[in-house]
Amino acid sequence: MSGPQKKPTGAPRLARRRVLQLIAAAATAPVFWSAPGIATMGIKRGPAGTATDPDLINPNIPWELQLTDAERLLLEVLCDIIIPADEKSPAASAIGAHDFIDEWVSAPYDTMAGDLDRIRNGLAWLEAESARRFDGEFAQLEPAQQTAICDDICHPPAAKPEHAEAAWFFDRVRMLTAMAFYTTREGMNDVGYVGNVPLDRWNPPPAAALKHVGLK
Amino acid sequence: MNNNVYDAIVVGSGISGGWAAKELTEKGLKVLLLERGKNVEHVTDYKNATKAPWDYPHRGGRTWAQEQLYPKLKRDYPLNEKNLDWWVKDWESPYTESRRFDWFRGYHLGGRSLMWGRHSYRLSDYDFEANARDGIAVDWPIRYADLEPWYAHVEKHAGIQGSYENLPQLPDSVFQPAMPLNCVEEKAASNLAGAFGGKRKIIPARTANLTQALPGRAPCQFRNACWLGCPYGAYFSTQSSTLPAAVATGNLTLLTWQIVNEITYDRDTKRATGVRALDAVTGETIDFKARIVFVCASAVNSTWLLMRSATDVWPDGLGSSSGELGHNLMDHHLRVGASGRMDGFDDKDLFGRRPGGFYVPRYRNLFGDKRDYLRGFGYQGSASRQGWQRGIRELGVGAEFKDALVQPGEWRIGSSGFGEILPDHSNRVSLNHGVVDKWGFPVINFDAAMGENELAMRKDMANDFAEILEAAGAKDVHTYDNEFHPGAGIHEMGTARMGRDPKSSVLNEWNQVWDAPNVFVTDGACMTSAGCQNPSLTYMALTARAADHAVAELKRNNL
Ligand SMILES: Cc1cc2nc3c(=O)[nH]c(=O)nc-3n(C[C@H](O)[C@H](O)[C@H](O)COP(=O)(O)OP(=O)(O)OC[C@H]3O[C@@H](n4cnc5c(N)ncnc54)[C@H](O)[C@@H]3O)c2cc1C
Ligand code: SF4
Repeated sequence: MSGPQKKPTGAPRLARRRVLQLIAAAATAPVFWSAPGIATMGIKRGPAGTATDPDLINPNIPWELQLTDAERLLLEVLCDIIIPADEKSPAASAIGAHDFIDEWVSAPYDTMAGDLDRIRNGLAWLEAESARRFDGEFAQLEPAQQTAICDDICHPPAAKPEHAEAAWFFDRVRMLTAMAFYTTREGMNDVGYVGNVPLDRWNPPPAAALKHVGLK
Repeated sequence: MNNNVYDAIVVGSGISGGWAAKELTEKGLKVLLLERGKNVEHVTDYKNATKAPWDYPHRGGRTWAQEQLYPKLKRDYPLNEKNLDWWVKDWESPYTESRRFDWFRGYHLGGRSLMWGRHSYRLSDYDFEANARDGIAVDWPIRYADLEPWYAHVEKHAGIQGSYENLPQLPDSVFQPAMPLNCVEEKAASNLAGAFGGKRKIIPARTANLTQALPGRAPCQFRNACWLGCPYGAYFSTQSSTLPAAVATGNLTLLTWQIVNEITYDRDTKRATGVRALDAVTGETIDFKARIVFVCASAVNSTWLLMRSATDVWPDGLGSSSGELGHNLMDHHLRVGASGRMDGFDDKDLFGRRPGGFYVPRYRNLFGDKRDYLRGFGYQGSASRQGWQRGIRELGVGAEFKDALVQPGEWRIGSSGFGEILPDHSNRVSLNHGVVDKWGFPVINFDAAMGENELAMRKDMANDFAEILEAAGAKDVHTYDNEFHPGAGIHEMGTARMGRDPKSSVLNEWNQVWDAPNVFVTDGACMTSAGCQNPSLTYMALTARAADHAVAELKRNNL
């Protein structure tokens, strides 16, 4: 995709991942701990009628979803333009980014109050712009045509005045798509997250690896 | 011997109560430890400790429904999805406020030792002498020399990592090897060394995380997941440290679900005879007897308990003869500081997740510095690289967006101040008989606010750190002050203070209630002033010291 972009800085991605793989390799399954005999101490019981916390394991959406089918479909296409599949991870829609955004904009929180309007108006603009420039629905356009529209709005500081509002909309969708994607197993795997793996012993990585990432 | 008779009763199993149980059982006393909440078994009850971030439906955040259920807890970060089970349910244990107080509690075995931030710093004589020097409140009845051996005693068992710095205002602990500063923090520290006459220092934070194994406990694995409970026992909690030691003596009886609601008092002998507890499971009221009682229910709850005791002699409760019980409520004020960007380290990244950061020891109103407010503050902070969350606007879309976001972002460095709050008689808690909790007990009413001294200090707390960052080489420096209400420091202190005179203090130099010398209060309630250091290490040391004195006095038949 063209358009003004800043070259990301930092260590080459592969090198960093290799280091993380080294950590993963050092991780083995058994958890090290030895608890002196307190397992017998407490009696597990609770007073009758103790309220339980809301069910955290089975997510439910306590508010009504607001987006229409057409809006959700369009959002799905947009999410995948923002985060497409590659050899390492799936596209944003595969992990339900568009569902997440629907839930998000439908929420009764003050902090999200403007988002429903912003995203709804933005989606409407996207359709109108597709019809005006390419005489078609956004979802049916050629990738190059979709890209052309996105290029106009994907960089808010550089957007033309008439695109300012659409750019703001796009910025929000991009942030929400990233938020949805990088908080899943698939997205965190893409970042190279090793995670909460038990180590039976702390094996520091080899000196060469530490040197490479600048720690020694 | 009757089943309900012990040598000592300890009320509350948090940081203070755990230490009381350990010290008293190790000295041979038969100890009953009473905890009002449920059991939390070490390791096996740390249900979320090994969950992946994506296993939480709301990624660890909070939901709208939870906010409705927890109107008080939601005021700050404790309302979250990851360890919600360990926070008091607002609807079961309400409290009222004449002036706002954010109270974050944990009622279960281990208390807040499971969720605490583990920062551990000694007080110094600059703190113990502060009230006398400033002519404020009352003088501490002890000095650093009285507590120094007890700090060392508890540190060896708890395991505090840190670096030896030889600072008079922040005495060194007995340390395990420090978790080092990361490269950006180190650079900031060395840039800072030449500025401000060397008075403002960035040093490794001192925390109760092991860097070397202790019996039954493994060193920290650098996961920064402590408040889920540590499967390795690598941070100090009642469960990982003091409770196993107490259990090992064979002298401990632990009962959970016992809401202690009165210290029974004999007006003839002027001694407590034991405690009365409501069994939260059966609804039964049980009297337990003992020769000494250690009150370690956390500052405000210990005060609540005193206020409900011996009311036939003193209508306002045991310890109220001084007129100070419930008064002088303190905390540390925070949510103010600065942050900035550090350039030049783009080729370096973070490795592991250190459960600490850096600390800037107090430098204000010390060594000749003189401000228009009293006392001072320290800072806790860290430097880290931003992740995908930064969502930089220039990143575009598609494959390049994705590639860019998996690169670490810029290095940021920031901190929050921790400022001292002065003891003020008008900052207080009292019983509110008009509102009862789930079990029918009157609740606590808070009436406290920030004073002018604290508000003046906050200006420095923001500006000073901006100066520190600039001297340290940071760019794009911003200050912040996110409004603070007492309580949010989660360091409640002072409501049954120690002193030299029964007319103006609740406890003597050994944490004994003046009016009932076999009752010891060793949690934050006893603090005569607050210092600006995180206080729990001091509660540990005071508890161990008081336990030693209690046993000696028992042997001398003085109690
Ligand atoms: C998120 C967080 C971060 C923190 N960070 C730090 C830090 O970095 N450094 C620091 O020094 N401090 C920190 N603190 C504060 C620290 O947790 C407390 O100072 C410490 O736990 C106080 O110990 P305590 O034993 O007095 O009370 P608690 O640990 O609160 O334990 C009190 C116990 O008494 C029980 N209890 C209460 N009432 C009764 C009753 N009537 N009958 C029977 N049992 C009762 C409770 O259920 C609880 O188990 C933090 C706290 C929190 C929540
Ligand atoms: S960071 Fe260390 S102490 Fe904290 S939970 Fe992980 S291993 Fe335990």
